[in-house]
Amino acid sequence: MTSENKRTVIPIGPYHPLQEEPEHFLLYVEGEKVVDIDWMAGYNHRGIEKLAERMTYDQITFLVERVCGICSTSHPIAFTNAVEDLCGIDIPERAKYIRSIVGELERLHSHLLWAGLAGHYLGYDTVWMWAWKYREPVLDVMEAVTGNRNNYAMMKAGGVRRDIDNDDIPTILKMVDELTPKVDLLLKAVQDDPVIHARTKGVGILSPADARAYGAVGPTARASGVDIDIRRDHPYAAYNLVEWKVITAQNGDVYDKVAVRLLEMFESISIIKQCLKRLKVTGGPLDAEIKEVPPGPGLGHGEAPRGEVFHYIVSDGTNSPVRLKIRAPSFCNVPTFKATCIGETVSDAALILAAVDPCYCCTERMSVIEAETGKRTLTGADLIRLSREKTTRLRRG
Amino acid sequence: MVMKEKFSDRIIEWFEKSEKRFYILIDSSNLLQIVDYIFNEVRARYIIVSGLDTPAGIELVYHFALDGAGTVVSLRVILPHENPRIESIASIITGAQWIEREIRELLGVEFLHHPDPRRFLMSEDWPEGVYPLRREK
Amino acid sequence: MGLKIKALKKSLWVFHLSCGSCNNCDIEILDCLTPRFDVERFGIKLVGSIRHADVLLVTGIVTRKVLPRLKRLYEQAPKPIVVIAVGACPCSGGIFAQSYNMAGPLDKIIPVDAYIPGCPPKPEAIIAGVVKLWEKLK
Repeated sequence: MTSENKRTVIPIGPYHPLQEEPEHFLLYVEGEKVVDIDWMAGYNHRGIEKLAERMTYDQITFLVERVCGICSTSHPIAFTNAVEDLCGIDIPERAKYIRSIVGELERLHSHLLWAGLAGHYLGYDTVWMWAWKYREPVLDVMEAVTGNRNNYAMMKAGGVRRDIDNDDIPTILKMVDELTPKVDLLLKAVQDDPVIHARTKGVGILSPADARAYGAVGPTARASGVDIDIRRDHPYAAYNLVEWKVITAQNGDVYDKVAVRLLEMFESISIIKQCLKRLKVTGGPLDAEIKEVPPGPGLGHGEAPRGEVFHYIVSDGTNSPVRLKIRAPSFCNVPTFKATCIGETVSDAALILAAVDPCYCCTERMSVIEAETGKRTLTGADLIRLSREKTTRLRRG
Repeated sequence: MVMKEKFSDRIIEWFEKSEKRFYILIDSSNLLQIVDYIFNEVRARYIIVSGLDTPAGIELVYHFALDGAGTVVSLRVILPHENPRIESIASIITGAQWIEREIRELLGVEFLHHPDPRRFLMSEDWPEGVYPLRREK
Repeated sequence: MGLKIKALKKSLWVFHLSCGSCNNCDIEILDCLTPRFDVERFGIKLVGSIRHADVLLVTGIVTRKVLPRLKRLYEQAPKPIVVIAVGACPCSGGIFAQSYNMAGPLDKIIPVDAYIPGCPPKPEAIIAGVVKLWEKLK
């Protein structure tokens, strides 16, 4: 900090404190307070939309699965929804249950991943290890059912590629039943810990008006009381065939963002169990064979763990789209920190950024740009350290 | 739909692909007014803007969700290839400014009165004037 | 190389860098630290700075924007440093090989000592690859 210039610029990045992905944020601070923040993208930009133009509809499901490692199946679900919208077809019932089961299993492991990272940045490393440990059985089930821990290759336009064997159902049920008390423990830990309350309540508040202005989606929006969820509002797969509820909160702070994700996990478990029960008694084909794709537009979305994934296709009637537009949830959620970080302290910045559960690769087909600063700088590691130190101080005090 | 009547003289083409999918072609000069109506009066949710290079011009599609009705309304405008420019909608929907920056880099559209028209995605060494999503002639 | 490799016998300090990835490999790498795989018991540790690293684990295709950063980081790395390409992307570009933003694969930019293919490779595969290389260097 110098006297001529009251503002200090702190770059966070290129390796974000909470993630392993490259992204750049520039925090402009005056003293300890954040006064502005800039988001730079581009490090993960892999030109996926352009790549899609030379692939067939069938091949694209493999491409879009790799937009983001953790919202892996949400992209193929939105994409196949778009193709099915274009063709005006509905998928067979058994495929609907399978899509929902895989989608909800993904939500479970994604939220657990996030819970672990948030725990780490708060200084609760046991939470990190523990959340990631309980994530493993979910991945084991994914591997048993789809063949891979990540990147499941389950979705195709018209249905699903592989079946879930009815014989596997007890294994999946056992896993979610064993997971339930773990999630409960995690929820209670958050609800009962005064230090977590102190770190997260009233911090990083996103107002409903700002949520709308940025197009925020998913838990980031629902924590602010914005009652939207693609699974209920624009139903796809089996979400309108089973009973479940959309979880919202009222304050829009980091605490609410945590709570919404944890409570959602119980709904996911319930959806999985109901779908498995129906799967046992639902036979039929796994996909509606699509012979031809008409020219015109097609639009599909799905509720990824981070919020709405949106795919828009333009077809010219050939085997390959003319255009594929992918909008990942984080593209609209990440900029909300312009509204939530400003006025907050540097030691809270890392946590507020994490609270939108940013998936930079989704948004990147994106990345962040860096800026130069000659002023005092902090690295990503410094920001984590600041956050953890704050927790320690609160515990002592 | 109320909108159809209200803006009937400003709608070039109204296409209902299905009861949940509306594609409305308008002139770029009417964009702000109609976006304002959809976002602030109808209270639709802003999803994203997509751009596409077509033989007729650079087409921008503004996607909005009517979550209560499970519907998506997509506003289309077509801009001339030689000079694709249009008003930024960031004054109405602040979140749109990032996708407008992306579209500028990938398709070369100029967004007038954009609050922050800097480079966003592409590396510093990516040549100006090369737009990856433009088609070869 | 002698002094450095002697150091390697005791423990392996690993710096992890994503050069434009979907993040799956990055998460599987982090997974190696968690209780089920727990690589710390083998003496493998993730460090926060390249200057302390014996091994550089790289994921991602190497996008144009990351390229200068990757080069700079490699320059800062103490030599010798062992470079491992984790996942299909740094090995060959994977499914993104034709992308307009691709500046890789990794061995076009910096020397690579080992390739661990997969999309993503499982933690077992990553650990096996690192250990195999470690054995070889001994």
